[in-house]
Amino acid sequence: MKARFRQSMSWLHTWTGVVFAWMLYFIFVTGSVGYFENEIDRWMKPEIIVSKGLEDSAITNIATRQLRVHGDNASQWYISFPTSRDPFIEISWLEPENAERKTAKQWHESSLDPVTGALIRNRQTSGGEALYRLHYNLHYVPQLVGYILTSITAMLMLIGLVTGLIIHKKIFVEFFTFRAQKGLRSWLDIHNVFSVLPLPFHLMITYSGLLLLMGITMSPVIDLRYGEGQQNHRQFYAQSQIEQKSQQIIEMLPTELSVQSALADAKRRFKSHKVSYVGVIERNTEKEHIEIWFESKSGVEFASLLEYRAIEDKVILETSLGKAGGAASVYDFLEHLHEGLFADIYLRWIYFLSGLFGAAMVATGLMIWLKKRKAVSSTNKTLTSIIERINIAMILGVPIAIASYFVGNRLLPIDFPSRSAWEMHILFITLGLCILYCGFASKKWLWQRMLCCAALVYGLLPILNALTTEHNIWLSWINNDWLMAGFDLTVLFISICFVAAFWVVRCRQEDISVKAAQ
Amino acid sequence: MKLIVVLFVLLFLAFALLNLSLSRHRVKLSNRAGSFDVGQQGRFRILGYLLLFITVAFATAMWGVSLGLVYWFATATLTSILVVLLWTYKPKFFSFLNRC
Repeated sequence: MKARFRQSMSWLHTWTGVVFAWMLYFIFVTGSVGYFENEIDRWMKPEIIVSKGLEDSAITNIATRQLRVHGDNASQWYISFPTSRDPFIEISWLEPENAERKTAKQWHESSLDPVTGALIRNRQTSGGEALYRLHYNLHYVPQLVGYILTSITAMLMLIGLVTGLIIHKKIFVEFFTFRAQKGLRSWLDIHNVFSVLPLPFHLMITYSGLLLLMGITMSPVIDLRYGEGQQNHRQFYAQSQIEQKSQQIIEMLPTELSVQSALADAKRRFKSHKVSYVGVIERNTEKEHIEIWFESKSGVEFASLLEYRAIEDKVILETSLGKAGGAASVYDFLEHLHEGLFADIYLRWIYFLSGLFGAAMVATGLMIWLKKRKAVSSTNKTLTSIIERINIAMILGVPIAIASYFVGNRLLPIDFPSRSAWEMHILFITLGLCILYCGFASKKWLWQRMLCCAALVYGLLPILNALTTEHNIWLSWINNDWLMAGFDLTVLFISICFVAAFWVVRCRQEDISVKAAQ
Repeated sequence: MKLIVVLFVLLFLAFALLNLSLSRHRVKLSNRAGSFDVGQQGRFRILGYLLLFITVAFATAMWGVSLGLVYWFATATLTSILVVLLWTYKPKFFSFLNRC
């Protein structure tokens, strides 16, 4: 009974893993890159000027002046203060819909020159955000389809993890085991290392990922109680996501209430915390209020919020205390864990690495599946060959495609029409080309050539940056522009890793051919 | 930053000890640099688990329960993978534990 149970679990593990493996790999890689969304954004907007040493009140002055000029009729204003991850001033405003000009309501954002206070004309770019969104919207498909496909993939991944735990007989004894250069045994070992050691991350990320999209996948449940359609669903969200707030009347006259005075008051209350955003919400209405967001220092929360509003002759201060409902708090907690916005640089790197370990787990799983297929003589040779080729194309094509997205950012002319959309097109065209190339080129050199290509394109990025902008590693280093330098050095390091992989594969292949000759 | 280093070193030590406490693994080192006896193996296992508990307590005390556990799991993943890599390619590195 027990043996048969394990066998059936092993079957389930294989097939849940293989069916959506390439998609899972794509999600893992793009999701991991997403942990550096802000850092990538800074690199993709090289025009941004880093702001240092400005007082918060001075920043508010500069920002509100520009917001008055450009977003006077906007319903929402946000000022984002320089932080270690976004070391520049940014303003954004929500332009209401305009019936005359037939424009829908739209967010505008711009970074500011900290010295002159002028708007900076950033190049049009999809930025880090679009790259990060790839891992759940899959870009070209309609949003709903993207969400559902991602959810199915996550579900299969979760089944893969649980069944993997069941069929792994010696999880404790082989906890640290990696026997190198032993063929299939080594692949199984490394697959276990990449799965078992970061298992807390894998379980958390898959489960919370499923949960984040439950509004879509479980929508019939919401239909049952609240009725179908977006309008009805909004009721559910409003009810379930109620925030618990404490209210107090503060010593301030409603006429005195402004962004500056609210900021000063909030800073008096939270002396040791840093302000991250300030917002003016529902401007020019009775419900107008000011939001002050602080970098949070407790638990996995990203930020804490204070709201100031004038009601009749008093100013009321509301402090958020988290979600009122238990389920919503659990949801919030898992969402924060998944997104890792609270993470400092150390945790952020481990988030990124764990994501890549996940990608490596999928890739090694696929390799094992292919090796086992090939060992059986009855398998369809053409089919395995095609799968093997697409496999190489995906494992190395996805990183190459991401690099090409960055290349596009630097090489597309600044006034190129729909530039940001084309950056994304370049990513997918490159991926398509990789698949095409791997489909037809000689299989013997495929790994080597693709690795070579990956090393080249990643190595090219810092050079392109130096040639097309005024940023290069040396200058960024002496100007303490750590994000710029960090990005360049990281891609350089990735390039070196690909070179190392290239050498390893090359030496192996030479060994094999020497042996074959003997 | 200092706290992370302390957590990192302790967890690395914990996994290194647990690794050596597995009899199959022990053989690898005994062939190359001295040997371990059975008593030592037991001591390593107890000390390893003890260190795991201590580090959980340390992390939750320093960062609070939720953030502390995130730090712990993150560092555990990193250090255990480091132990695997060192054990595969530089097993002699662990011979410093021989003298314990």
